[in-house]
Amino acid sequence: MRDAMRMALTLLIIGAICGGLLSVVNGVTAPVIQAREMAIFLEAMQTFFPDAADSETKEIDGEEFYLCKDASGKFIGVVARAKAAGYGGEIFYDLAVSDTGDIIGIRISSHGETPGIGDVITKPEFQDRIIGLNVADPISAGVDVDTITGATISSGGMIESIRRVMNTIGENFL
Amino acid sequence: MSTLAQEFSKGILKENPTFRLILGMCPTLAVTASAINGFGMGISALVVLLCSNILVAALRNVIPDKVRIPAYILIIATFTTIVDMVLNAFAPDLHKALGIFIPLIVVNCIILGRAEAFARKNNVVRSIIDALGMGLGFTLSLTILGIIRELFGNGSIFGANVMGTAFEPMGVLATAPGAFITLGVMLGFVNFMFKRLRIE
Repeated sequence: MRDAMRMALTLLIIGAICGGLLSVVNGVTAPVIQAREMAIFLEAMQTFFPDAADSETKEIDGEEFYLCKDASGKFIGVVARAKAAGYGGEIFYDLAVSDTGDIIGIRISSHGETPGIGDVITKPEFQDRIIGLNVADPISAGVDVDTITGATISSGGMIESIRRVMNTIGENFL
Repeated sequence: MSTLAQEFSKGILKENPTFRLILGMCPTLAVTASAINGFGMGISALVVLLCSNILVAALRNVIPDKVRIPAYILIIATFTTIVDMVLNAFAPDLHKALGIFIPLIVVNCIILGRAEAFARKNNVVRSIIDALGMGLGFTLSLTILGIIRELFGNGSIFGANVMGTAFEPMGVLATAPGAFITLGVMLGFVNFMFKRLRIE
């Protein structure tokens, strides 16, 4: 009995110290990580909408939408922070849509696609097929956007997700 | 009892975790596509190994034998998570490149192996030396593999182009099969050298 107590207590104490240590380190690193991600995103938003002076955040189905306004308060477009199902896990990306419903930019922020194959989604070869599509387009693989040969799952997953995001934007913001 | 110098050098040569003990193969195969990734992984594992060895050695008379494995795992997982968070905050590019293999340091058998085979039977100083030797041995091996794969697979070393524009990279070396090929060739080479030089 005393043995069991001692074992449990030792583990408890080690666990408590480890937990404390983790929360201290997390307290230091979490703000840095968050600030960096935000800075990168804001920079991307500036390149999509150079005139944006103000933005408002809306969350729909776990994805964030930044509604951008120019200096006079006029709505100029939306940047969605969305995710798609890829071949190597989730693909996180930003999609910029103008007030006329045209896709004006896309930026992959993190992905786990195969180097040299699925990572084509980060390149103009794929992204040029997306830019210029309108919210009224079907945005469907094989109909108005072609998947990339050899990277069907990566590019198909992106197209699928972009259609969903575009529908959400069309219904809510335009 | 062996001297501290022997304790240090064994991890780099005679008991090199990658080329002699064939431990920690998962990160070895996965992250050595470039020299900087191999080096980063090695250093991350070194930090975790050093911290866990120190703590396991310091607590070796406190932790009851029957719960030592859960205690070691707790300690290792804590330091791994710390390395993960620190890299994410201060070396985001490396963190992105190493990805899932940072958290997986928890199950790297080198670290639990050193805790179980060395740190729990030796004092703190010897455990530090052991961790430094083993960690540097691991780092060195991963960096060598990374250099070979990056040089022939991508024509560069540590991101700097060295092969010139006429060089046609052997793409296969940068992918998973290339990891097996390079590791196999290196293992053969190291075994051959050990036999030749009669290091045993």
